[in-house]
Amino acid sequence: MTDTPEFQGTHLFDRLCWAKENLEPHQSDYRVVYEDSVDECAKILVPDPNWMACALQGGILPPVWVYHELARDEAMPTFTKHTRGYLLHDTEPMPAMTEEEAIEYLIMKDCPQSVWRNWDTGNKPKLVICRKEQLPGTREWRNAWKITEELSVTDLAA
Amino acid sequence: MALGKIKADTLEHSTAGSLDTQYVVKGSAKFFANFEQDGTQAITKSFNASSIADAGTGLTTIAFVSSMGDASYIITTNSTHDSGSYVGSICVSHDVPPTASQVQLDFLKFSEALADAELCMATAHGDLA
Repeated sequence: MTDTPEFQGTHLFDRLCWAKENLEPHQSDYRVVYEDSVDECAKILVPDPNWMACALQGGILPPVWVYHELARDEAMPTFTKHTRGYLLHDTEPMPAMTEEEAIEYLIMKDCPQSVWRNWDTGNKPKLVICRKEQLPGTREWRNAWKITEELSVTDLAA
Repeated sequence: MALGKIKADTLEHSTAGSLDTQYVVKGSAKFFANFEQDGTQAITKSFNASSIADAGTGLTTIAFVSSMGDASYIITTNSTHDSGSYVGSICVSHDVPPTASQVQLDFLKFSEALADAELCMATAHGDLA
């Protein structure tokens, strides 16, 4: 396995360039189905293979709280441009993750916070982690897809 | 960082003039992706993407790893022609506007109906955070 260089203080974009050259992309079978609006169909999050390779390798990606800080900055009415991008580059990178830990990280990075912070507070889960094979095989009625109401928030994934 | 480095502010050709390396740094694409919307949406090839979210027929949201500096970066996309099936273009969503960390791309047939397309491509240029 290729050793990750010491990347703390290196621009995140440069780290991704290194990863693109040195790591094999990893196609994950995991998918995250989530609903962020009762008026819209379920959305399906698909991990990027290069990103997953970075997560499994370790020492490349910043902690997820960094993205939350940047999102908070961008939500301010006075926001014009990011001035704390250094958080992406100077914060100690995450160690190697398992694929499951990487999916949890990705949920907290790319799903709306209103979904993952309250995923189990309704009559059914707002978010389900599944495998690709568990999704419908065709895209028929795609805009009507919803998380089944038969799932309980106390059910554990099979 | 244990990588080779060449530091230069200018690249100079023997006869054709010189170029400030800032042009190379600022002008390079900061993101690209080739992805499929039909079947289970999937990324074929990419750089600086952490995920795509299938948001419904013809709708894909792409999240960046290294965030852009603001939301006014430049997205370039392609059109796709599947003979006898559809022809259309990928559009940046106005209803879900881009942020520094993600962009929603909508594939619309030239009839303006949303459709799931193959061979979807996009790049982003601009300043990183």
